[in-house]
Amino acid sequence: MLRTFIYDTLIADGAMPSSVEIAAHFSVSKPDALRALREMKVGKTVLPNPETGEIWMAGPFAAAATPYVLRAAGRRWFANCAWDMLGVATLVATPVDIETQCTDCGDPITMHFEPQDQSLGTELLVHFLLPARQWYDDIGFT
Amino acid sequence: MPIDSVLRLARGWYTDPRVEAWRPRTRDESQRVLTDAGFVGDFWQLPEDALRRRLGFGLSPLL
Repeated sequence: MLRTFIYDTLIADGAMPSSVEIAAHFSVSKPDALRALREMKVGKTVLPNPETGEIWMAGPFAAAATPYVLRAAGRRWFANCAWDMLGVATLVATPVDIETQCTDCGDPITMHFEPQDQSLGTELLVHFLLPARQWYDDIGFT
Repeated sequence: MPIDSVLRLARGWYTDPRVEAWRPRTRDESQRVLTDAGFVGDFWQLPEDALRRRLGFGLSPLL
């Protein structure tokens, strides 16, 4: 299944699979792989880039570099926002080092997270810019 | 919100999409995840299902 392949690749390799890799894995053409990605457009789960058709985000992972970075054993993941950053930490189920920055003052923030942790050991706050009823109006902005 | 509250929310919100039985949540299921993590009140009220359907939630058999 395409969804499983995307997340297996992401978590194992630390990289979003390209349409070429998807095509090779499922023995289909690249246009067929791109079409399958378009048809997966369901909410925030897997969204293709509107210009290239390649995966833009596979919630909570981002395909492009963002200020929310997680590292573990030579792998690196990017998240879409602070909430997603913690989603990635949860999904990869391995100890991770988190690097981000304060969106207020710009100071760098680093944290270590173990899968069983119930607390990040910090009093940092996460600012939600939009009320939940507006989250899906423009998911990229959200 | 305190980051540990957001951690609780992330744990409930992001279930493993590699599991075959995974499917998108309904609006009410998602609202329950928010509530269970302590995100209650008008600010945390998700849009109604009609809007979510217009945006493509829960339509694809591929997911």
